[in-house]
Amino acid sequence: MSPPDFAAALAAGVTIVTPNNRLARALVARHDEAMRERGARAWPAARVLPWQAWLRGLWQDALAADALDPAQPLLAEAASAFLWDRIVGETATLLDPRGAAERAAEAWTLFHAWREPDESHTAWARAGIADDVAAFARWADRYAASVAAAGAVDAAHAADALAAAATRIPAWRDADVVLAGFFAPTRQQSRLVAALRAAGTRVAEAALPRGRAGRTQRVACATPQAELVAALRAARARCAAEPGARIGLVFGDLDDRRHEVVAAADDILCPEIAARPDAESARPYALSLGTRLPEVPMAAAALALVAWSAAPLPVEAAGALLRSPYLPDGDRAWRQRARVADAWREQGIREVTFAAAAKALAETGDAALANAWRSAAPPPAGRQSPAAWAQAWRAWLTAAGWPGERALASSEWQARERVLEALGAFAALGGVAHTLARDDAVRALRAAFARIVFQPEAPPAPIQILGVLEASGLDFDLLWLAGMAAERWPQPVAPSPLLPLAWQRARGVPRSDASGALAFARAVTAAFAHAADDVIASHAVLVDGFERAGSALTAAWPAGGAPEGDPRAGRAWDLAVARPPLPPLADDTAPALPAGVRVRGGVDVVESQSACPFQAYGHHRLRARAAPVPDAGLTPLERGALLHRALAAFWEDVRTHAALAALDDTALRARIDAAVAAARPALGAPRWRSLPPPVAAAENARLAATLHGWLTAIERERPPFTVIATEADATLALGGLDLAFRIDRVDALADGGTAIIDYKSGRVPVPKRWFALRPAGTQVGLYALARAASDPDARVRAVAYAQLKAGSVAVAGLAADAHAWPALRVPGGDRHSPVARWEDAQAFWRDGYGEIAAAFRAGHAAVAPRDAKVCAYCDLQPLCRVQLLEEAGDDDEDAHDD
Amino acid sequence: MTTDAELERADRAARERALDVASSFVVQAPAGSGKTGLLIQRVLALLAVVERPEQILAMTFTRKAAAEMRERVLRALVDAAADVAVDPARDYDVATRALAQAALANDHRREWQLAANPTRLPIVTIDALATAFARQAPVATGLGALPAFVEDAAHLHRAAVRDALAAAARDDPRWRALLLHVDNDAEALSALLAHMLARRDQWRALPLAEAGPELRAKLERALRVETQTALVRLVALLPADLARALVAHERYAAGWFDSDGGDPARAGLLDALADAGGVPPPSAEALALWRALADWLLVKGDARFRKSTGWNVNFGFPPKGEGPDATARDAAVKAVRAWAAEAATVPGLAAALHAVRTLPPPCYGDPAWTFVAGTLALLKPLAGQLELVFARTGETDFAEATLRALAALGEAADPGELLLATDLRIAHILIDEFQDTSWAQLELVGRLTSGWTAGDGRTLFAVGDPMQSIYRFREAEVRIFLDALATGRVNDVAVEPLHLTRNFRSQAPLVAWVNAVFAYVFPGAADPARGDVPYAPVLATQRAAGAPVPTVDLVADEAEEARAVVRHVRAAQREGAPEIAILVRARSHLAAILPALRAAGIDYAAIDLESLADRLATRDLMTLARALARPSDRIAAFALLRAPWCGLTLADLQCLADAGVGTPVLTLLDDDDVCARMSADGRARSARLRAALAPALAGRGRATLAARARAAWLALGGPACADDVLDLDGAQRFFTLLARHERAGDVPDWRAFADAAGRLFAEPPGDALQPVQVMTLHKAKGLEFDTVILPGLARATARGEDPPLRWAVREQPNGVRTLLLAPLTARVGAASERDPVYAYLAALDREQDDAETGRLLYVGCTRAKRRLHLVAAPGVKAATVKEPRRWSIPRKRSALASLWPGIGDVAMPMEPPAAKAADEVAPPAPPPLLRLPLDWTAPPLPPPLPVPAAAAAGERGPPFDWAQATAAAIGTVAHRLFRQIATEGLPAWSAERVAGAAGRVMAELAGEGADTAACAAAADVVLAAIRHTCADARGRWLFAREHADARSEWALAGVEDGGIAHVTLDRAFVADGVRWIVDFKTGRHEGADPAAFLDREQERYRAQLERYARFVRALDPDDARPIRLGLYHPLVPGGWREWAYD
Repeated sequence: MSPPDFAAALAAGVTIVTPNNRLARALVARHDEAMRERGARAWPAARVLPWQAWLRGLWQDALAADALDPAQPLLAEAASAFLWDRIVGETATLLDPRGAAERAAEAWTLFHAWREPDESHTAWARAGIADDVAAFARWADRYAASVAAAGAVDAAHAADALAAAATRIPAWRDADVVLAGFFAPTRQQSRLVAALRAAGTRVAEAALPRGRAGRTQRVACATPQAELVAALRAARARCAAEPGARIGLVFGDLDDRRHEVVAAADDILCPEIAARPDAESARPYALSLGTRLPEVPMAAAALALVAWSAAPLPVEAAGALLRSPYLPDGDRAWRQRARVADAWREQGIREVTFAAAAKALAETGDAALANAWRSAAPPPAGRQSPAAWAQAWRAWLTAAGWPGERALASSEWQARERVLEALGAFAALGGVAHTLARDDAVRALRAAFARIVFQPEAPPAPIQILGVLEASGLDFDLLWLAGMAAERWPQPVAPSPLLPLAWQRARGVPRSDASGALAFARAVTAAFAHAADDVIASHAVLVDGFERAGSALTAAWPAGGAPEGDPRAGRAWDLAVARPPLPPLADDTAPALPAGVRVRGGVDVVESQSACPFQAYGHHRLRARAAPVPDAGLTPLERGALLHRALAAFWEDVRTHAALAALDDTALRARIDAAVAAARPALGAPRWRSLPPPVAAAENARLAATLHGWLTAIERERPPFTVIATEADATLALGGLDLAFRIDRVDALADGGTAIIDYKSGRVPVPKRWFALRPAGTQVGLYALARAASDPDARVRAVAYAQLKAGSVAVAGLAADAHAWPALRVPGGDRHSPVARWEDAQAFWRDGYGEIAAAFRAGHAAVAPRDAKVCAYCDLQPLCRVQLLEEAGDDDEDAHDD
Repeated sequence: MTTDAELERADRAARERALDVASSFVVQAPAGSGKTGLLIQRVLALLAVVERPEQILAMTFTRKAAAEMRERVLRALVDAAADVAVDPARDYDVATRALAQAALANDHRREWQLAANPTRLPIVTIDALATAFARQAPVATGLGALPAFVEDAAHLHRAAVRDALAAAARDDPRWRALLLHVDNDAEALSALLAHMLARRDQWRALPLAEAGPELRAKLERALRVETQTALVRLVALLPADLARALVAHERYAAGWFDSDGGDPARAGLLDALADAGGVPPPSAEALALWRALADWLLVKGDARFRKSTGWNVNFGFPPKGEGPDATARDAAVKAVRAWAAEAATVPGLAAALHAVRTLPPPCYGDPAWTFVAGTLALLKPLAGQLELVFARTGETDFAEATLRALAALGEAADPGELLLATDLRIAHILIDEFQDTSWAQLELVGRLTSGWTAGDGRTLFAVGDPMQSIYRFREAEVRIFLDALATGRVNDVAVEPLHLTRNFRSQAPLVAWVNAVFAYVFPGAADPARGDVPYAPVLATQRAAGAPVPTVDLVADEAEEARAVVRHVRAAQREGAPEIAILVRARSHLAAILPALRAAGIDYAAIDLESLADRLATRDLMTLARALARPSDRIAAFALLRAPWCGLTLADLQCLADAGVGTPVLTLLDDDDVCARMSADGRARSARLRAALAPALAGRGRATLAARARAAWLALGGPACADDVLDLDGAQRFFTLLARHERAGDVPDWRAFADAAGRLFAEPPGDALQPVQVMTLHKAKGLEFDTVILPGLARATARGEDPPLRWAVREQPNGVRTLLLAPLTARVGAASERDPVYAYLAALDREQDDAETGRLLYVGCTRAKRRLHLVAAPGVKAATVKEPRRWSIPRKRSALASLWPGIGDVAMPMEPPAAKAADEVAPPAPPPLLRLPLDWTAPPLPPPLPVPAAAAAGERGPPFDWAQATAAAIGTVAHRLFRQIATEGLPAWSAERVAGAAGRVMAELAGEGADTAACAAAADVVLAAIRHTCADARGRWLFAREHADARSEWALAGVEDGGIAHVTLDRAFVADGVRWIVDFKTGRHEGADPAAFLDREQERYRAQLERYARFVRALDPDDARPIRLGLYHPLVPGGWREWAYD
């Protein structure tokens, strides 16, 4: 049929059948445009159907003619998919059973499309056949039996059933059908066409409307990015110069590159629209790819709610749902709700129930949602029909407040439709699944969602961005074929792994062998060459750092010049070029604090002010701090808390060195165990529950071992003392600040005076660093000052850090004299001694630390880390904007290869 | 000594032999010997004889290498086909042409059309091969479908350990043992076990199935064998007379310790040594004695015998004049000095004795064993848990692909069936870079070649260069190559060793330099177990007169180093060098060099070298994304406000902070009271930020997070805040990555995303064809450049983290393989000592690392064709009383360290530079606050492209109600029947026929997705509608034959509100000059007052029907006949409403 006839056929209302939906829609759109250009205001609609929809129509014809005996329904796609999922899931242990089921369904369709009539797969189940084929054959048996049991016929088989019934269907007599755009009809399609002809239908095969000038050109771009930009620029130029021009951009690897392509297209074709992600204006381009339904935020929220009705949700998923805009008041309250999920994570909770979430919401004052959730009744746990499940879930979603009260934009409205339709389709699974248990039902719904590709309807865009197969059959004013490299075109062979290779080759299944792939690519290339007035094939020269050749199939096209212009272009570039000078501002002083102010953070204020003034500012004044998130076990903070509590309990019990020395090992261990038991409430019961059981169980043993090591290796070796305070509250006025803190321990020494101890579970700073220009380890000095201030008579004779690090328990500290605690350094003792006299140490604490405290009060907040280590353990880098210092030993051996 | 002529003859013979397509080979091809060229020739030779190209499988190490080989084979074929002229003087090209012609002839004969279809050349990476199996055998491999293979799967491994731990029982002894070993630090343990999981393709060496005392005994036996083997070797090294002579010295020292020395314990040890005849027996039980001996004879911590002054009182020799007998003392000291001097001349003796100090004891401590047993017992369950993670995330690591491919190939009856979509079995395998093969890969090759028999026409061709084995961190095992050379087998395939000995790349002086230097950098003999590769000299073929020799620069520090590099680049550019490469061992070695190049205005290409994550612009993007997605993150919120696009001062930030921590920071910006406390500047800046963020926030759910973040970045003027072009490219890649990591608008795993962002690298302004290229030595493998600069040679690389278990398979002299296995040192109690077995294995590992460092240097030096510059900053040792100022001894494990012993021969001695003044090392000033001026405005947007007018949204019908699905199906099926009635005419529809249609109606309803349970009832409704219509006068009128222009299901298109719309009319006809448009409704009405219901229905559908009327009018504007609209409800009594249009 020649082109004019084709248009006439459209106008005459002849049924036109295309291989895919896209071509069908395009043909209708072309016809409509043509009619409108002719000045018509209304006209009979073109009747163009993609193959599958046409088959369904034929099936209805057959049913209407009572030509099928018995009258059997055509199985819905969703039901087919459900059966494959169930069969593959039940019979094989696979990493991705759902993926395997999809492949099996594809293979089943392929098998029917290319088999001889009455050819069966059953022989393939025999031994000696490749495992994959044999497995498929067994699945196929079960699938066929299930379809038969449902009293239905599935889509893969429909054409054959129709061919058999063709002569009994009067509606087909004298009907006109045109097949358009079929590159390589399958054997099954050919059989059906033959049967239709035998039944009296006039079936014509039409080449698609061509009549395009077909000025071909090939270009080589430097890189894939440059190629993308060149193609988009060409599209923009043509679109601007020739409004209404139809432009096609084809990318062979569109699936892999979609994010990059979308960003570049937004940037080059419609930066003004991309700037308004809230507005949903029509873009000048359309991408042929849709989004899987679970990736659509509104659908994801629905799915999460349904899953939550059946089982606890992982905390991350629960958090995402709480932040969703598709809950009541979601646009206003989402920030507060985010904090609920933060709290769970900080508690180490991995899964959370719906009821617990409702409770947590209530506690944060989110009363409306909390009440709605508390009164929502989840679907019951037992077995139900799919329709009952769908009905229950619909009610559940409504009760839980989905999809919120937001005024829905068009795409959101369509997404909601799609979700509800998907529930409807689920209800219709009753034909193949009588009842489903709750978990199976949720799993099946998830699978059903995952199979749905959502692509909101939008007005036709002048620029179409497509994959190769989607573009074939369409015609354009400008067609740019990107990625036409030797290694990509023709495409590599990709036979179905589930059908015997020899069988596929013998039947000529497309892409099952190299010569077929080549022939197919040649045919498509030839069609593309005439599918537009201007056709450009491009490839990127440099990929992975190596030069690539263009496809041999376009080698004969005239070479065009390399695309002009800097590939670095677009909105970002425009803004960068317009970069004004950024005047530097020395802003390292925050408002001063009033004198005598009580600051949160206690001694850490001084410690971090000394490490980096900005760190002290960020942590203690902005109170910006990353909460430690437990991953597998206890955080260092929690471990420290337990250790402190256990040691406090131990000394509250044992009190004196003498009592310690008097304990034999059995008795000592008993006292330690008691102290460890007393420490457990340092963490709340929920936290203990959220810990992995072996970790919770082993914590006692760990604490006991550490205490035992410390008490026997260090404490028992000391001169006699009596513990006079544990976890003692203290305050200190220093540098105009009022610091409040807790002193881990104070001992009265037998020969007079006191010792102060601070417990640390990691490495401790040696005394030398306490007195450095920028001191570290300031706590014990501050404790000594506080102690001296509160009790001028109590002479502090020793200050020490206990290093309670398993495997290297030690003490580091300073004593006024060698008798106080022989293991500690003494001022002036040797050349390692940090200070000459004990009084010097006290003076340094008072004056040196006092200055640091005063600097904090004055608002000194310069980004000035003492060394790279300070930054390595600091969470404020995004805020302080320090250029990271290189750490010593950072020389990692890297792998950098593909 | 081999002569040049012999080298040349041998080389030519080897190259010719390598093209014998009936034989298998392992080929040692040193740098510059044209290895790829040889591979290509062999591929061409094979193409001339095979039936299908897919029978050949060429495995390369990288995608780039695969691409290069494919292109070169293709080029050879295309050139041969086009008969492009060949220079007859170039032997290689002439030979290649002949091979290509033969291949081409076979191509024509068998109609492959390779030139048009180059993907048929199966040249793949080993990862791609494993992936191909997965694709081709989804069931046999157990994968089900091709998962997303991820390069860095650390997050998956972590998740698996976390899940396993969470699911474990409280009292699981395995977990308890492991946890207590690491001080119950579950985070640390998880990291350790995740590390093990990442390497599970190496587990085959581990006895995972065994456990208990038998295994312990077996492993302890292996330790004993290891130690005894070393001791036996040591005893063999020690001349018998020297050993006997020791007795006297030992007795003397023992005597002194026993009396004046006051150390009876040492006296006892020395006496025991003397009793044993000078040295203990070579048995593991005597290890303590051996150690005592080593400590007595050798200086502390080093493999050197004690020098004369060292024999002092601490070792049993009192100072002169002391001791019981002065004469005896003098004689004893003299004798022991003489003994030590002589022992020092015995080659290898000191080293062997020193090694005794680290030999493992022949048994495990109980805690160590508990940890080993617990870990071994947990590995398999952990792997099982990992599979669950793979299944959940759809992501998989490459190790899994290899393991699954191995498993599938091991079980398949015919592995060929799996291979690369070919139904012919692979007949020829070529492996490039064979020296970097891992055990797992070797096993994969073994599966592919299982069943091959000699002379069956199938061949293996393994080519590489053990001197260039540099991928230990990827489990490359150089001993695989060495074993193949030594045994003439690769797995079960006999291979003939060949050696190429000519260098076609580098000029003669360079080759001579490399021959000289690497003869001492490399060990003298091959030792596969230690990874020792001896140097194989090569013959230069490029003999340009006056070619330069390499230079070595020693400089003070990294800044100097960068200046030296710039100097060399400039000089090379002046000389017109076509390619200049700067090659480094690790990215971090470039920290000073890349900025120096940019500052010098030198354009360069550098792939994957400059971390984007370290750049402020990228950190700001992370901040922005985080602030948009995680509103409760206070640091991100403040950072957003502090970044240059907003730039709030500390004082203004303080206003927000003072408003309390209970409210998210960005919410506070909406609070006028809070904002009122800020400065005017701060208010204006916050307002600008709020306005810029508003669309991105309001777009939640509607656009991806990546798109929203990008929009916000642009609206904020982010690109105008970036201080380098790099950052714009970086931003694009950041957003693409973000899009990949988000799910439904949220990032479920920030850590994985942040980790991935940490692996983003800047792409500098140049493209990859720039003359100046910067890359790592690993990337440079296989490449060549005119000029090569190797900086950073004094830098060592950091060691990786200590794994929880270390193991090594050792081959004992009798050929028996033993497994050595050791646990990480326990962290318990007060003080822990390093596990001695672990330390021993770590030392072995280090030795192999050191050997590899030398090979890495070799790879770097041999990339050069003409010029080679080595640059190192070893640091300077300050002058002391004894020594003048001098260069520091290079750090161990630096390339310079391996070069150092002969540095005087290769570098001009240079004076170390003077020390820097103190003020030159002042700390950096705090970064200033840089911010976009308030009055800055973005440049205008380009004009929008014309977009066709959108069709009016139309009326959005009531939301789809799935509960009405059955009702909808009833309507659809009934409408179909109405249409059929219209076609066939009412008379054809007798009551019997209507009743008989039940089965078909049921089938159609099911096909429409009606709820199955409701189908029978629904069919009744459909049939009732039909029955009523047929019986009802109104119904009969609607389908009356006499109407003109009657249509059913009339599909129309038309222009509406500027767009095009489609409608379908149920029924239209002309009766009595009136055009009727009628819609059928199958709804029922159960309640009272059907009239009121129908009135409501009329109102409900009025607009819709009038729209139809508009279309019909537009269809034929000339048709002036009045239009009446009707609504027909067959199931409602009196179910008819009609009204006039216009």
